[in-house]
Amino acid sequence: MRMTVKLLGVIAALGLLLAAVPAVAHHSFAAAFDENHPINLQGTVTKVELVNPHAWIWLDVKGQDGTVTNWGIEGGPPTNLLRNGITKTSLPIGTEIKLFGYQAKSGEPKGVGVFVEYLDGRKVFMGGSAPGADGNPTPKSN
Amino acid sequence: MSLLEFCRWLQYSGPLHAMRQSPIFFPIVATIHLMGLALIGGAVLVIDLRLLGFGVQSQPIAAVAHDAERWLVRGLAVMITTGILLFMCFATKYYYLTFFWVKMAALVAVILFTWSVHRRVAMAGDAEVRPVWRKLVALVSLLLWTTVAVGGRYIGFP
Amino acid sequence: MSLLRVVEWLGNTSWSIELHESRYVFLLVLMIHVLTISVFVGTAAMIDLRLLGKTMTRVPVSQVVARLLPWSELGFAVMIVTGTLLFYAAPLNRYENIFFRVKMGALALAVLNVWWFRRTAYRRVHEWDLDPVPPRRVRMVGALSLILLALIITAGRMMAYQDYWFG
Repeated sequence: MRMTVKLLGVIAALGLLLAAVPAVAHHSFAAAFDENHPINLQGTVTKVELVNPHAWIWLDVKGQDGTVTNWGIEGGPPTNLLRNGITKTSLPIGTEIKLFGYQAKSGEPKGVGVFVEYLDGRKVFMGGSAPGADGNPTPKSN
Repeated sequence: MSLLEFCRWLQYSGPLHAMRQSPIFFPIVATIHLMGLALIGGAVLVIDLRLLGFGVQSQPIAAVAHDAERWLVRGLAVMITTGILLFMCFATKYYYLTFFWVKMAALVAVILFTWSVHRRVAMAGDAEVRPVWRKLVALVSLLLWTTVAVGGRYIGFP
Repeated sequence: MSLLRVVEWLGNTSWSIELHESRYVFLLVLMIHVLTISVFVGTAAMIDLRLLGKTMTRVPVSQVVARLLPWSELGFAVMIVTGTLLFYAAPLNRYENIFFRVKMGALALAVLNVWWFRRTAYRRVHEWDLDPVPPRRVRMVGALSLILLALIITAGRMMAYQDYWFG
């Protein structure tokens, strides 16, 4: 019993030590997406990376003032996207799409995607870490 | 309150929400979860490999079984604690994952199995239990633990 | 012919791309890699705990080693094979990943620790084989091994966050 308590203590200390690591990193950390910052993007596809362990869809989004920002949206692994109907050829470069997801905590033009929406209204879920990306309803606290 | 509502409450409860605001919370908990995996793995293998007949047999099992069990308990303490924290981060998502429930069922099954049949066979002297039963018990144990582990990996990649 | 060039070239080979974009293979290799922690680190940790005098103290050290080390070595082989494949799936990404570098450094030190132990203190195991708690030098080896293994696991897990924290 004492040994178990000691073990948990050592592990807790280790956890706190590890917590210090990002604090000394000189870049912002956006390890998680921000559930309070949903994003509705519309733009043209510039790159589709159907790779493991997370696929990425990149699109150029034109802002209100005309500037174009390239956004990177993360999804699940290829097996999830393929199952939902996104293949290497279903999103050719230049395709106009809408995308709903959540922005990275750092505020960069990156995030996790929930679904891709074609202009004809078809929705394809991106199956990743975003709430709802698996297609299931997401009851939220507020 | 339905199970789904309970999961939602868990996922968005106050103190946990504050912890989750930190982007390193999940990675650290997940890392410690893996260390628990190593502890359980070592403790389980010490007994089950011997039951299967691998390795040195010259030591009476009693010299080893109690120690292994002690480390299994510690490994479980680490994994269950971190597991609950991990679950709370994604409770509503895991609710919908079949593999999550398979993992939980296998976990309950292996804990019950380990502290009943498996324990009796492991602690018994080599002369008391026929080799075929020792091997069968070890295989069931390893199969159940593997199910728990594989289920866990499937959660990691929905 | 710099290392960077080699890594870039590897990433452009067709097998690398296929593995990186694979539907099932990558995830299967990754699953085996992660779950084999239980075998490789698990049995190594039990040996280290014996070296520290924290478990199976009535069993001679040499017997614990004889019983468990082959399995740790088997687990190690599986980790190397799966790890190489995971590296090959995205060589440039791994090469540039700071956590990957820390992991490899820790792994090298862990191997060195074992090798050095076998060449020195373990040669005289018969002197302390039956001791429930081995001599201090031996305990240090066990402790260092556990710390390095923990570091390997941590760095490996954190590799996924490089893009977020340092990208």
